[in-house]
Amino acid sequence: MLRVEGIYFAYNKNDVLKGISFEVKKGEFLGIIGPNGSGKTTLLKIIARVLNPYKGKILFEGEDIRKIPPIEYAKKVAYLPSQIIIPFSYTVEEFVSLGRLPYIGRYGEIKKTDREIIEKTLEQFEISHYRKKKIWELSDGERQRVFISQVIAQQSSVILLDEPTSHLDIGHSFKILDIIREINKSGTTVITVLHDLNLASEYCSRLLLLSQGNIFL
Amino acid sequence: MKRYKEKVRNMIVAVVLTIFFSSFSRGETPKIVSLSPYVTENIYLLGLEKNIIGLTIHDREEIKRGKEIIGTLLEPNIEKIMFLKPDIVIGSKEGNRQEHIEKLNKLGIKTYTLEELFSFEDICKNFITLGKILGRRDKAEEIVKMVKARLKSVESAAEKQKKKKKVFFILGFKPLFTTGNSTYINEAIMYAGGINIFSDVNKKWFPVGIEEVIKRNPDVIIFVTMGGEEKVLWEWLKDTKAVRNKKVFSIDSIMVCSPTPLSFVETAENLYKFMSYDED
Amino acid sequence: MKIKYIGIFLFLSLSIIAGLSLGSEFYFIPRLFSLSPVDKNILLNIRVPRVIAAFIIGAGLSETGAVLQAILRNPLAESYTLGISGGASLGIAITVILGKTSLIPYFAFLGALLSLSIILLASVKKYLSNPTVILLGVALNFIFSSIVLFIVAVAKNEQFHTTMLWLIGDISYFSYGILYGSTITISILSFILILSGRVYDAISIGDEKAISIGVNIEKEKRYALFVCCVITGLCVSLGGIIGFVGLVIPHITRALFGSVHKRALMINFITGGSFLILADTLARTIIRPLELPVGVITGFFGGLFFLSILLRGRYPEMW
Repeated sequence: MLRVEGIYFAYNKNDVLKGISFEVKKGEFLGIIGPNGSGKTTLLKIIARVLNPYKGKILFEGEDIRKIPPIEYAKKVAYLPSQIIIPFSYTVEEFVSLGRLPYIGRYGEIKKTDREIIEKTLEQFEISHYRKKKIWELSDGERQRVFISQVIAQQSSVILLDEPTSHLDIGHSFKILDIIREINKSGTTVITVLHDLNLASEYCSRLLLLSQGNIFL
Repeated sequence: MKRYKEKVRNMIVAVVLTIFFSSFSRGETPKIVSLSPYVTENIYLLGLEKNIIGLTIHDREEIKRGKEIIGTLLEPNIEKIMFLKPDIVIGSKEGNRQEHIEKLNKLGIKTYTLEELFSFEDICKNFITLGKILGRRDKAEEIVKMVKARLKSVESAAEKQKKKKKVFFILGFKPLFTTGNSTYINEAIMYAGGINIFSDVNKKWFPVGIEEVIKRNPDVIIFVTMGGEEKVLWEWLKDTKAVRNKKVFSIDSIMVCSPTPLSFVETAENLYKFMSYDED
Repeated sequence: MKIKYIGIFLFLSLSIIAGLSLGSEFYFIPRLFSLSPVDKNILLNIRVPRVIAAFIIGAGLSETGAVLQAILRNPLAESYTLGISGGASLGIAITVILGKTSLIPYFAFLGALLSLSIILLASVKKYLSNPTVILLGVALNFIFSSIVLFIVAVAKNEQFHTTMLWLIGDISYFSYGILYGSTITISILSFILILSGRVYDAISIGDEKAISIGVNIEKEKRYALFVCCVITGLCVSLGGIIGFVGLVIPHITRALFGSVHKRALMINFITGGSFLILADTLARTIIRPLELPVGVITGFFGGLFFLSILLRGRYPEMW
């Protein structure tokens, strides 16, 4: 489904990624692990099209992702960065609704189908009763659930998660990963960066080790 | 015997005058730096224009020729003034900042500051003082005497008018600046037989709202030519008596912004001309 | 919940009534039935255009303030922050010195566009990262301010006053042509901004998130900046540099109506416009017959507003 071919990337002069190639099959739960600074987040950002490699390409179902218009790509791939900073007082409901942007479009209104999907996602992550609360009023764990549910509401075929559990205690980590596993079972491909090897081996169907810009496994 | 006494008296007067005239150690040509066009114009009236070695950028082109520019009204260049080694630096409270004058004093330069102007009398006082310190006291007093006589004739001509005309004086357009009752312009208007519609305001110059002008319905409008008239202003004022009867006149800014006794009476005479019409 | 909206509508109506009826004459209901031609002249030719001008400037500046805050993810952003107003003031100062005061509006507008071109040119090198844009704006402001102060220092007395007035903000003069053109343009552009509200929601939660949900951030940011620049340029050409409106109104709107931009931008338009009508009415009536420039009032209340935020200590908007 997703093929990464020969990706090279450098922030300054030094290469962070040196010719990364791998393939991801539909429905996989892929974990990317490795020491700090090995380029895991960078790789994810490149797949999310936040960064551009200076060499190499990525194919989504055979198509070069650079040729896919942004809205279309958003329906295919959703990305959750490791940190989100929100300068304004959005409510949980408002924030999660933004995940529907690729379907609502620029000028459109939220339709019934969108509302149903948002509703379902809120319930899935057990944050329905928080819907009118402002995001900054929530705890770290609750906030993370809100961020992930926005990604899920996007209903993309692939979701990229960068350290989705790093702010959470072990109990919450399991809870979130359980829900993600369910979503994965219903067909969504998951690519996630995890620093906890135990969690990674527990949930992922396959692991990719990234070290000094090179891939193993 | 009488003739002899006269001769001696005249000689004594001549000697005294000569001593008085040489109040400047170098005698006939004191080197002057003027800190504002107001000062410059008054020195010009005294006939001492050639004695000015330095003045501001704001002065008239004809006067500036051959002289050094020592900066602006707000920011005179102290170093340049010192370099010119003037005998005296003259400023005024009409625009110059005291700090500059004090600084020059501290550096050993002789300075003089003319007082702030609230009336025609102040203009004359300043002018005579200027005459005194520059050795032209007699000429100064002569000019003031002549001006006051001319002013009297304007006054009596103005008294013959059946009605005092209401005048709106525009100093600037944005903001709409006019004069209250504490200025020489207000007085000039009165001498000319008019009454400033804002003479109830105890201020010198102030920004006024256009509605107030319409409300007070002036008979005559006088504005200072400065370039940049706002056409929409006349549109707004179209219902006033002044605009309807086409009694709108312009006046030179030099006369207004750098007043001398002579320019004051000339202004009053001009204003009288504008206002001496008979209403039907 | 609907009460808030009724409140805004009331605010708007009150402002318009105040703006039209207060001044050297008080035109309230009974008087309206016995208007002399002079009264009609005052009302139609002076007050109505001035109220329209105040409204459209307040509305425009509030809109751009809100959009800039979203794009830069900084609640303290405003046209000033990007140096747009600084460029406009440079244009104003140059025309005043050249003595062609009738050209002020056009040069103010060009000045604003000049600032934008600098920012856009710089961003072509690297993509518009927010700290860069903000720093660039601050730098531009400093440079422009010093040029303006230099020009003001050598200006003649009469020009000095006029320049100061443009730099503080004053709605006593404008040409009708510019007023009508600006009203239409600002309304249309604001409408476009309102419709694009969702995009600004997306950008405000982060470039990476915005990209993830399908927003072309480079295009959207440049587009939004351009629109904000045009609106600001027009506002400046009408009334000079009026500060604080673009900063304060979006905050108040967010506090009362939430941060979703589509709704907030609509409210901002009305609230900003109403606020400036009131401020301008106050400016021209508080020390009659003297007239204050409106910038004095907005500056004062803007400052008070921020003090109150600081003192209350409750500023959750700063992450």
